[in-house]
Amino acid sequence: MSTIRTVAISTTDVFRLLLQRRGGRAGLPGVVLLVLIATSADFLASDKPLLLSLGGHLYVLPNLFDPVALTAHSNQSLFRTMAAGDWLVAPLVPFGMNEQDKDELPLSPPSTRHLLGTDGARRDVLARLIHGSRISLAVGLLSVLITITLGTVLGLTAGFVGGPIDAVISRASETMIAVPALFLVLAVMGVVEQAGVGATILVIALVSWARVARLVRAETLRLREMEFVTAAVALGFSTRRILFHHILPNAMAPILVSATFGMASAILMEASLSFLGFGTPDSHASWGGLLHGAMGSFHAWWLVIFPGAAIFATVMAYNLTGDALRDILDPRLRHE
Amino acid sequence: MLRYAARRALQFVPTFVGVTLLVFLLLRLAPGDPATAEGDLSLMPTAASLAEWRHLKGMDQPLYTQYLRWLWSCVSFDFGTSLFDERPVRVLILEALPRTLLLTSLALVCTYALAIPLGVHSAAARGTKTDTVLSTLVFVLYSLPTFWVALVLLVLFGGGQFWHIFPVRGLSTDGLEDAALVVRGLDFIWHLVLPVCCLTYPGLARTSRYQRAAMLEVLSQDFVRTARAKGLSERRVIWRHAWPNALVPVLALLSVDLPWLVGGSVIVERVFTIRGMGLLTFEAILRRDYPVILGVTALVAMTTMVGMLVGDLALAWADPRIRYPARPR
Repeated sequence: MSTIRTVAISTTDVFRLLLQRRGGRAGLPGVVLLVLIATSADFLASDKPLLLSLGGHLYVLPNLFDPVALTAHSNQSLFRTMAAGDWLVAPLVPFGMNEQDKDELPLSPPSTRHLLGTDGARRDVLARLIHGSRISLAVGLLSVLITITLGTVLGLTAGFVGGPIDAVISRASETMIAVPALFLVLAVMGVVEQAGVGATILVIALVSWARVARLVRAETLRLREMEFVTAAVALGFSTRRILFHHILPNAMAPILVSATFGMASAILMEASLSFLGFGTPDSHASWGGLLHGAMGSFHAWWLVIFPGAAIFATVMAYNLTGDALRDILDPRLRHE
Repeated sequence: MLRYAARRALQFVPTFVGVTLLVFLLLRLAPGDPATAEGDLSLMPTAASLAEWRHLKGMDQPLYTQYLRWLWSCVSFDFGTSLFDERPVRVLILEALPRTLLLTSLALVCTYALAIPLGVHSAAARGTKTDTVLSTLVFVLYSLPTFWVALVLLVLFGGGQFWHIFPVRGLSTDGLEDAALVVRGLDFIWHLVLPVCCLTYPGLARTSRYQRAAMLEVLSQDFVRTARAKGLSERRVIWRHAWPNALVPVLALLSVDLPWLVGGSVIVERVFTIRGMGLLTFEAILRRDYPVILGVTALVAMTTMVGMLVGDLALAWADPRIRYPARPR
């Protein structure tokens, strides 16, 4: 009764097909750009120079290789105190994410000194934006990793083993879906004292695994009836081997699609949490936290526009990629 | 049909207990305690006064007693008493619910009123530039974070550096209590504009895509070709013949919206300071007022399940195969 609809596509094929689609062409570069910004944040915005010649000594990337040597200095102090013959190459944004610029007013609008203005504590908004991409990316990646692992294992088990185990897992995932995610996340974050980034990641995973589990369960139920699984059972393979070597590879496509959309929703949820004042502490720059700081000072439009635009662009990039990926990988949509 | 409904409803009992037990345990086992959270009692409580307070609130009893007691209060629709407000949670909810319902139902009407024409139009113009533009537009709207849109609207229209057109907080202007009914009515509507906008746009993408897909399926059927062959105008073919057949799946979405109608949006109510269900929950969480959090969770969980039940029943009514599960092979 079941026909084989699984299509084998290699990773390079996926990327090629992604770039053939309008959504993928717009989304994929956005995703790559975010990763680049997050990994090179320390070189894009830092209170330490990239290259510095001070008193005849040459420092190369001091914030990376020699963090202790220049603790007393920053770009700004070096600009003021450098002797003749000393020189430095400052990063694009010569301010650290937590550096308070004493020469600037709090909440000052965009200027050549601070391209995107400063926040209420005289910190550079652009520097905080650049470093905030790390929180977004880390929270997104780690929570999606946990969500997918948990959801896949539970979904595979429920779908393949069936019986009372299936009933328990199905009821549990129905339970999780019955509570609005943000309510539950807020409730947990509210009671956990000094909730940090780690707690945010765990809580997002806690409220998201159920959808993946349901998806994987449905996929497993479909695959279980196929001839190659019957053959594997007949060959006497262990349940674990059948699950992870025969069923899982064939269920990978929908999992991958849901992981991509999961990135968008996890990033959005972290931003919502930080915006409401839970989650990421102020010492870590985060996009939602920047918007939280904008509440109550609505004349500071630069505190609202830029962080929100960053969140929007990121979420959009992942949604576009996910959409294109689904078009490519989902065989049920293929023939439309 | 009735047996199917009863069976389905019974399955929700463990789910309801699961949801509330989960939230209850999370709230009661997590470090942090309402007695020491922000509130009147945080003004240097002594150990004795703390113990007395906990005894008064029944928090010194075993957890299962507390939970069962709360469950019983649920059965009688009382939901316990707020730890700080001293009023029954039911009263607090009944105070907040109308404001949320007003906002969300207005937004729901707006969403469907905009999304249905959008979806029908996209489907009728499938593959053309119009279709692409409309699809892109709703996709962009879908990715816009609500809290950002709310803040941008406030920055633009709420009297920052730009225009001061719309009010920033609440649902009425202070000092207008004695004004004429018309003035108060207009003032009320004026307060609703921005929050309702923020609640309307996120649903557009989902609803219009559903409508588009349903429409495409109907448009490919024979009776549509017949209608066209009869020489009917395209407008009449689309709206009188095709659309009514493509409306059911979209209306089925309403059952999914039910919990949202009741629970509201924490973010929108927080940004615009509207004392509805979202803000009630938010403040209860800040104060660790767990009877209130539990009460709201229970209510939202109940409506979710009622929504699921209604959706399932509608499906079963339309498709008898679901009503009678197939015999195991």
